[in-house]
Amino acid sequence: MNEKSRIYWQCRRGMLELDELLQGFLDHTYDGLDTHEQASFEKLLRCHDNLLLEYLMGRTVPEDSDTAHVVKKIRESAHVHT
Amino acid sequence: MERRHFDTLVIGSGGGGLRAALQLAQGEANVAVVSKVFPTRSHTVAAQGGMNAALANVVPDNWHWHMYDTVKGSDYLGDQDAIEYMCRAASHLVVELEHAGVPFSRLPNGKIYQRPFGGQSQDFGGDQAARTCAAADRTGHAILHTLYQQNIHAKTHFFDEYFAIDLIRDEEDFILGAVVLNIATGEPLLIEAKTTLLATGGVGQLFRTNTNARINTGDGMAMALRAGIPVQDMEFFQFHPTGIAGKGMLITEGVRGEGGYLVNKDGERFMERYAPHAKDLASRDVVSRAIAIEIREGRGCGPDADHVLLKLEHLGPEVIKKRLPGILDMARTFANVDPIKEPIPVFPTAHYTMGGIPTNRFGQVVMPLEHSAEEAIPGLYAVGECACVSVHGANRLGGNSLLDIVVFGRAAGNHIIEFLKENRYHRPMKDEWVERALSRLARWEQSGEGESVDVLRDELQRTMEHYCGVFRTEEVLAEGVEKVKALAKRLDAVRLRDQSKVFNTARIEALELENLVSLGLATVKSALARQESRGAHSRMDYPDRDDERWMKHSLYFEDGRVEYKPVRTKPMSVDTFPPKPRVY
Repeated sequence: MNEKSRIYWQCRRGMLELDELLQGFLDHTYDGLDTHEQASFEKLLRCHDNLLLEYLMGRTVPEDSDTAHVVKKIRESAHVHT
Repeated sequence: MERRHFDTLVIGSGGGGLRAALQLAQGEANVAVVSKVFPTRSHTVAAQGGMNAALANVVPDNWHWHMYDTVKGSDYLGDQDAIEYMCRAASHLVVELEHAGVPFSRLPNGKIYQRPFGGQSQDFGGDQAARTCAAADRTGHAILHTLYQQNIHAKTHFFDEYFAIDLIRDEEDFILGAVVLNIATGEPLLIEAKTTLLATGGVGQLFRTNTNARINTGDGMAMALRAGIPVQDMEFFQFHPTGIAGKGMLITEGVRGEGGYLVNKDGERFMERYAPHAKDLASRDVVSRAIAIEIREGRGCGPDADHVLLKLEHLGPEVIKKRLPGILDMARTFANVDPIKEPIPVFPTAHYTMGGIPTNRFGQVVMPLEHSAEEAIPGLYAVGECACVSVHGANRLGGNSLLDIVVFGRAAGNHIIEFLKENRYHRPMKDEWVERALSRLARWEQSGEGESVDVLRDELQRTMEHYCGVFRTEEVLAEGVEKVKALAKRLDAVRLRDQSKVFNTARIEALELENLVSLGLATVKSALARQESRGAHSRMDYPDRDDERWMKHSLYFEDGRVEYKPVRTKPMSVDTFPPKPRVY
């Protein structure tokens, strides 16, 4: 529970757009990820806000394939749960 | 409880807090910055527009013209001494930021590029000026990251992921620091400081539809209220007419500029009724109010009839893709609609808190005490959106908020350095003052059945939106006051299910909710009291500005009193700009 709370707090960002996408993903999709994907998500959360926005709005594709995979999942999750 | 000692405690790590901290750390002060999230995740990062300064790189310009525009934009509620100070300092501070590494966009001749923005004029209301300096569309991000790196270099001490509970105020009204909570461990920490600066940002989370990050819960303003300090001009909240309905993200005015228009559930282009000439390009407050009226009169769209539609399909895919690419991403991601084929559901979205903790132009928190209406609280400062200095008055101009935070962050830093020279020792701390702050935490240890934080916050946001949004009348606001009071009572019955300490984010959200409720009451009460329309505060029943009765600042106290103090109409060195009708 508190491990997820810790990650939840990392989803609190400086922009509403990121809050919405990251917290929505954590609520709806995160638990169904495998441990490797969960680790990729945590790694993604270490990016600074502007880069995250670029990734999550689909303006830039991450070079690293694990990151690109989790970004794709977040974008898909947003479409399903909007 | 653990105690730490610093010369200065800065609460909040956006641009205002970090600019002040930098000034202090470079001045050899021992500075702590407390932030509830990692510092570069502060809301300054979302400021895209830029920062105003009369550099005159594109067209002729002058700080005095900038001052005129800001006074006029404030609808004559801004304090003219503070506005003069800010506009005079602007050019120097842009250059300073550039030297620190902010990559401002350039003109072909190598000078800093400046873009025109609404409300900017040359020669006191003449031709359009171009005054906004920007680092592409990421000016706030560039400023925040630069200031953070400089603070690390200057050895500012950061307490990341610590939540401020309450200020400590002694019997002589000195502020001695604050009790903060380590979010990771759940343990409180007493930070004793000779000076404390609040820089916690605005309170956009008061409204259901808002553009703000979820961290913007007005924590510093609410702490000030609990310490007996009033909040000023809270009735002035800036709304944008077109936010994504139910979500809040901003759909830029550019969409209507390119020919997009609004329709109600009957498909009627309703702006033709409200503004026959300007139609969908009427001023923000006119469009916002028209949307609210359509919905209130039952012509809203969707199953709950709670929004209107912004149509742009008729522009064709080429125009949309070429001129409005950002809108495509936004609408597809957050509204799940493709604007090439279908309209975007929109609703007015809350954007900026003009009100806040009253300060003077040195960043000192001021309030009516024994000797004057603006007596400084010794040891307490506030800057940025949480403060009301007041440079924005009743409405903020685009490009003036990033300027506000760096100008007054620096000014507060300078004043604190002087204060520290005269106040070299920590004042005595009494346990009872600390206990008072800790009791706020203890309250959340009550267990059992009760109401939920999420439900109450949702109700508060809906109540504020309906009763204190863009549609304001005596009747609506009076009902709003009663509704928010009822919510405040229910707050006592809220219980936390999770009583653990480590990363108990539910507890943090409960503390944030307490802050939101007290500021909700401050906002709706101040709005009810002001019987005129000025800037962003627009009353259907008092449609005109009334300078004779209302050219004054409101001060709301935690006991529910609303008092007033005069606007500072005398600038530092130039003549006063007397109130005139605000026509653009």
